[in-house]
Amino acid sequence: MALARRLRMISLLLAISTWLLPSALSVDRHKFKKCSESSPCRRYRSYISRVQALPDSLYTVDPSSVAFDKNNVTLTWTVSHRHHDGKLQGVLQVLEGGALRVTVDEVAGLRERYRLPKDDAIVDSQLRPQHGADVSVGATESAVSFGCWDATAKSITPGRVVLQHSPFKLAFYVRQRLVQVVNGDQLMNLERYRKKEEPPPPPQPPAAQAAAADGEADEEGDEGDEQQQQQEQQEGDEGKKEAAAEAEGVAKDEPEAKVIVDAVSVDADGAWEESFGGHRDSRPHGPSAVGVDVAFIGVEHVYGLPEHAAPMPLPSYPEPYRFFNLDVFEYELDNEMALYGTVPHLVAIHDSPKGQPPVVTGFLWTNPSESWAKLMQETKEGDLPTKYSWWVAETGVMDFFVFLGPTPMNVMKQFHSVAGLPTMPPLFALGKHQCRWNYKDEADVFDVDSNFDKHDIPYDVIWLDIEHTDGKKYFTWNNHLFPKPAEMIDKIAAKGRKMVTIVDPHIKKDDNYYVYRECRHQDLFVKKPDGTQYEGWCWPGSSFYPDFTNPQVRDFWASLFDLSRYEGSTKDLFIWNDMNEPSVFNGPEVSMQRDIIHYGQREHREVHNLYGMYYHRATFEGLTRRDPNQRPFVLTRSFFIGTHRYGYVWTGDNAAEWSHLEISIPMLLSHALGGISYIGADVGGFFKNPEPELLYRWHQLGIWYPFYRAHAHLETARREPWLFGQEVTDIIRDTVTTRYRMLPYLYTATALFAMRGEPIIRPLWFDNAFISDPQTYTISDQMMVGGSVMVKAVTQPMAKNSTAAVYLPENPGGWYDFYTGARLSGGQTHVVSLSQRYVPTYVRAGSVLVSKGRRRRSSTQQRLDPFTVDVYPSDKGEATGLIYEDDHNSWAYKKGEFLFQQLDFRQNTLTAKSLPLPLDDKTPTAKDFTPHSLTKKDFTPHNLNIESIRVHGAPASVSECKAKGAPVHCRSREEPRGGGVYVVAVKKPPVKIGEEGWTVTVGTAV
Amino acid sequence: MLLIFCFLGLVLIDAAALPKGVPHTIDKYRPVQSNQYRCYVSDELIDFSFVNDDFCDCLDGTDEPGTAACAGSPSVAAFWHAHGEEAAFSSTFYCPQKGSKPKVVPASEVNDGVCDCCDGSDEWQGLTPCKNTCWDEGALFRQRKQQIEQGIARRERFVKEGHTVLASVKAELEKEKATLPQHEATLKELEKEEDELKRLEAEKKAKERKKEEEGESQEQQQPLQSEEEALPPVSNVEPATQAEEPSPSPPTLPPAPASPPVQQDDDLDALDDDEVPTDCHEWGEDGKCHDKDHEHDEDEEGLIGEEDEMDEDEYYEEGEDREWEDSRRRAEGSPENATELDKIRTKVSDTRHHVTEAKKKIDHLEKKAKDLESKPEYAHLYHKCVETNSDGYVYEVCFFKDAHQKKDHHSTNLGRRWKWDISTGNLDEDVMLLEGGQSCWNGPARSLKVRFVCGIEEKLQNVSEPSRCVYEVNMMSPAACRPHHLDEFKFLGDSSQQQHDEL
Repeated sequence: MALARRLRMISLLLAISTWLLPSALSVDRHKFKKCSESSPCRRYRSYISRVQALPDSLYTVDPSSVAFDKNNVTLTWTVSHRHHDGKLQGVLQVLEGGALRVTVDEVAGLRERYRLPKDDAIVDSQLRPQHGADVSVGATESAVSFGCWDATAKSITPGRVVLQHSPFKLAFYVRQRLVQVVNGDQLMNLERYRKKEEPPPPPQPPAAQAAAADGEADEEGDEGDEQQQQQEQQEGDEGKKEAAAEAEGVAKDEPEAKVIVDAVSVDADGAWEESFGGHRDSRPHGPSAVGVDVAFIGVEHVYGLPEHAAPMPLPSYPEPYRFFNLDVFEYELDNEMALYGTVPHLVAIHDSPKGQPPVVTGFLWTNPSESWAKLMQETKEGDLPTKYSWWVAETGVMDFFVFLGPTPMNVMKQFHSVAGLPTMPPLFALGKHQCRWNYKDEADVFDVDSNFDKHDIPYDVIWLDIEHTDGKKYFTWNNHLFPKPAEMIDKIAAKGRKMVTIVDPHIKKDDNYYVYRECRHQDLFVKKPDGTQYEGWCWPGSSFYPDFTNPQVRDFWASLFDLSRYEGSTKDLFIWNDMNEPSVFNGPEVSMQRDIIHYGQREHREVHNLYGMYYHRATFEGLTRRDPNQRPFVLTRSFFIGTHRYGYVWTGDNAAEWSHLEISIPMLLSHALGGISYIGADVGGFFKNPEPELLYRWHQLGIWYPFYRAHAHLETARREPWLFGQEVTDIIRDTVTTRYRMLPYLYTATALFAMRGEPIIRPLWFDNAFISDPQTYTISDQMMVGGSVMVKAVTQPMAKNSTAAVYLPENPGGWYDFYTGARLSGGQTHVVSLSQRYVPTYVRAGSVLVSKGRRRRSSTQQRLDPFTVDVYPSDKGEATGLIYEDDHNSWAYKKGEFLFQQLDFRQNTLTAKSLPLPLDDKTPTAKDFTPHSLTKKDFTPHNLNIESIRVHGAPASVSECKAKGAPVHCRSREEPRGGGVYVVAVKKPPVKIGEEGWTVTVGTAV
Repeated sequence: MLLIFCFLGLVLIDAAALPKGVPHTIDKYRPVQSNQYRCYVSDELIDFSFVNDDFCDCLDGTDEPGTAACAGSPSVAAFWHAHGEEAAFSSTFYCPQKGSKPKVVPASEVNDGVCDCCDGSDEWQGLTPCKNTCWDEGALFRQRKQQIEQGIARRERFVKEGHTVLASVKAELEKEKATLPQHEATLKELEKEEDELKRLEAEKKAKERKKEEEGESQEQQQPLQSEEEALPPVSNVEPATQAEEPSPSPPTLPPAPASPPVQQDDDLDALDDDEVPTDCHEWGEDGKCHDKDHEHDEDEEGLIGEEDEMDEDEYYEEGEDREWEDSRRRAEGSPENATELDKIRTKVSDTRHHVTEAKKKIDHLEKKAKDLESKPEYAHLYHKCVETNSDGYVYEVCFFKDAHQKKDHHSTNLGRRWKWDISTGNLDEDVMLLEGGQSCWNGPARSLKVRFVCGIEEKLQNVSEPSRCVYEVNMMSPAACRPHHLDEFKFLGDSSQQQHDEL
């Protein structure tokens, strides 16, 4: 088979290392499992090499079973196994907009396999079938053909799925091009639930596996490496592998050695019991893993798969990417290790024949148990490269989505059509967040707050970490340090600012603690297999963990945020959820034992990756209930598919190192491709002390993060912006001012994310205009913020390199330097000089940006300021941009109380027209794009005036301008940093954002 | 309330000619040429009506001193950065705060719905109602101003009194200097007389001995000094001990200092701290340093700080006299047996003592006169000690002398040499630098900067350690009050007029 040849290439290609980042910090790798230490992954790997050698495939579709439900646009079929009587049920549903869902489950299994609860991660009840599909059921294959409606482009893309019957295989086509093949290599493995006696344990395999079977917790580190080498060898040498398979023997008895039912037939170690790190996992239900291979045709580069500290595009590491939410202390960069959250969404760019734009598709693995995704080095067959992969989960059903694109934006809209649209945050969420472990007392809070005013640096939210509590009992305050919390919050709020406190899921074992008492009384904690409450160790010491997978527990939790329940809280206090992987200091891999029992008698292994999302959701619901008119703000560390509906995520405990600044762009972008654009990395780095240059460089990048928070570890030196001398204070003030100036643009991008599923930050290739440019595929230190602004991270001190090479994609009219106004041509790399205050930032020609030019102490005060409109014309002298406005805090926009306008600049004239928006409680569909009534509400006291319209790259001599036909003052002047570039500024034109029918002409209309 | 505003309006008539947000001291905000404004630094000419029209016109942003229109403008920031300065008026707003102290706030706080100035002038658009709290806030300033005025008056007295003290010290010094030669002459004569008598006595004895034991002793031909030196052990009636012996003349005497070698020049920095007592302040008659700090240095664990420490004046009056009287008693022996020589010896001893005393006094007076010369207004603090508590330590400063940091029974010297710190170049600021304290481990010798701050009550406050082992403390004293301290209260106007204006 083809895979064997491909695998042979791996060892060669491994030598070509990709993007190695040095890192001074190092994670304790022995604490965390490798594939070889996790039996479902290990045996799947062995199974892959064995299945490759089989002459016949294991799974076939019964042609007579293929059925099509026209109402639900659902194709169903039954899969038979060559060596097993049990049947599998396959289901394919074609969804509106180009998303396809495939599930494969046991028929009449011994135990019901875990499925995502309805509407919890996937918004099942919002899924709408794509009507009008054609079905053909044949003897060898069945096919469904359909049209995907692209609401934005208002066009239909043809899609097609072919179900091959024997062997069972699914092929996905878009625009008549094969893009993804599932089970093309017949690597499917679905371990049916079984009685323990059913398969007697196989004979002990030699060498490494024997060692693993002993469940040695503290195996030597190189043991795994040996296995790894062995694995590579196996993959690399088919013949040898076959011989090994012969020698090892598999199933019940010798004559049937070659009978492989599933991966357990190959390696039964750890199937019923497994140990790691001194922790025993009892596995009472036995093995139940699911795995399959997926080929991405025509693909060299893939992206996404948060959360990993991996560069862009995703490297094909020797080890599979792991998905198992963990509290990883001092994580390392550039590897496949699991981090705090999981969205197994892979986005692939498929090369196209010359002259056609590439097709982009997505693949979403929704299984919430521990999962692994192995990416192979791509191979070329003929002209087309192919990226092969395999995916395996410890338990649950096979449930995945294929998003047919064909554009990156389509893929993300398809993703959100199944994972739900994000929730619109309050405006202050986009402001600067000031955090530290810990602002120690009320005086410290006031001191920091007033210093921001004194140094004229805006910020919106000041945060309190765990030390604010009484003994790490969340919802309480340390009375000595914070004697009057409500008064403190009121005082901060009087300046239009907010506060955030941390609330973690572990509940201190303390009979005097009401949360503990009530949870115990209502029996809300997770339990051990013996039915007793599970006790773990975390910040407060001995702690218990509420079972947030239980709706009742979430309901109880939400009630804790009531103002009458959370003493010292006010409506201006918002919440930070941490340690929700969950982190258990004395548990396996710093988390919970997998045989812990959750709601519905489900094991922790089945729901592990959901726990953090459920917790976040419970908090979100608490804030919603506390104040139904206020959009909540909740930050979480752990996440899963759907977390974007509950708020913000950050990339956890990074470090004050240039390499961590550098990795933040690929990390944030991978989150964005997982639907999590509400994302940021801690500016300055959590661990260690940043040198001032690293600190301000990080701010200069951080102002473009969707979530901009400065944070620091308890043991680091204080690093508020004014502590490094006047120069650094001035740089950071200017930098933060830029963030605030651009809030209208960022808020518009946020609204487009919340209401249309358009990511806020994007890789360069994400834009349809740049997707055909392969140079954009490998750039990982630049990103687009919205559709118009591009930023580049400065990832080295100036002493090392005082220039930066920036690639600007081809664009009509090129690019404008955001800070100097200088014009640069696209389609080439520019080497630009850096300075302390200058980092490469560009505006795409053809853009109109709306901003608020005045510095204020927080976003709240900016409501009263007029807008500024900056026009950056293309080579044709045209530009366009969007502006969204609402009341910044409430849900009134859902009732149409918002402004959404497109500003167009053409023939030297700027015009505005109002646009409709789909509301965020619905999936965007065609009918949402019919205009409906807007601007029901006047946004007083919002200021909607435009104080200035500036046209960049204008001739030097313009002095006559007209607004609504009447002359208005304007003048042309050289851009502040010179370069012979001019900007014409129209002063106070009598026009407003939200009004229609006005024109402002700069110079003479062409 | 309404009245207040009316009056404010009247008072501000002159200021009203200036655009909002401009301090009175700035007079560039006047129309030039045909009613234009010349941008403060960037020099462009714009229509004067553009000033404070809530739009940022000037490149330097100075046309909007009363609005937030230029706050945070990147082109304004770039302009000022290119000029190597911060954005002065383009980024600040001036609140007159009549009745209190004027205040400068960031322009970003103008009309933002938060009251930042006590007169509410930053919220002139009235987006939010601001109470005028300036009169209350101003009370603190008025109180302070009053204190400074009192302080200035008291300082004048201190200056006068200081000059009186200085004059009397000088007068006494002159007197002492004038009488010293007489004493010295008398001493010389007495010594001559004593020598003569000794010679006669010796001759007499020699003759007697010759008569009794012919050609016996040659030793008696030795120099007198040696004989004298040899005498004390044999005779109780020898007058002065070596320590008391002030005469510098006999070269064979141990190097007892002739007088307390108070350093006459301030330049002690070149001296090596580690070589013991070169920088001693109080020399004992035994030639050892009696400066208690040195003793502490030598035995830091010992009991310190609690020994009797006598002021130099007391030292002369009590200690010296006591010793002298002892020797005198010894010299006198039994008066009935006193020979002519004994009598003269007593006289010599007495006179010699007077000379020593006089010299010491002269040195002391000279030092005091020198210490007080430049700032006699601090004469009342001369060698006076005050204490303050900070962070669990007691800080004791003895002005013109030394300073200590004490905790429990442990005392650390923070400085044992003093000088006025003129390094700041600000002659209106009185800073007493106490240097050469105990060295820090692996660090410099400790020092303490005493900054005199205008205040009514004389007390130490605000101890700080700006860098390791370098301490600073403020000493409130009227002696530091100078008329220019009232400058910052000019905003209060004439204090008698103020009340009237405001009410």
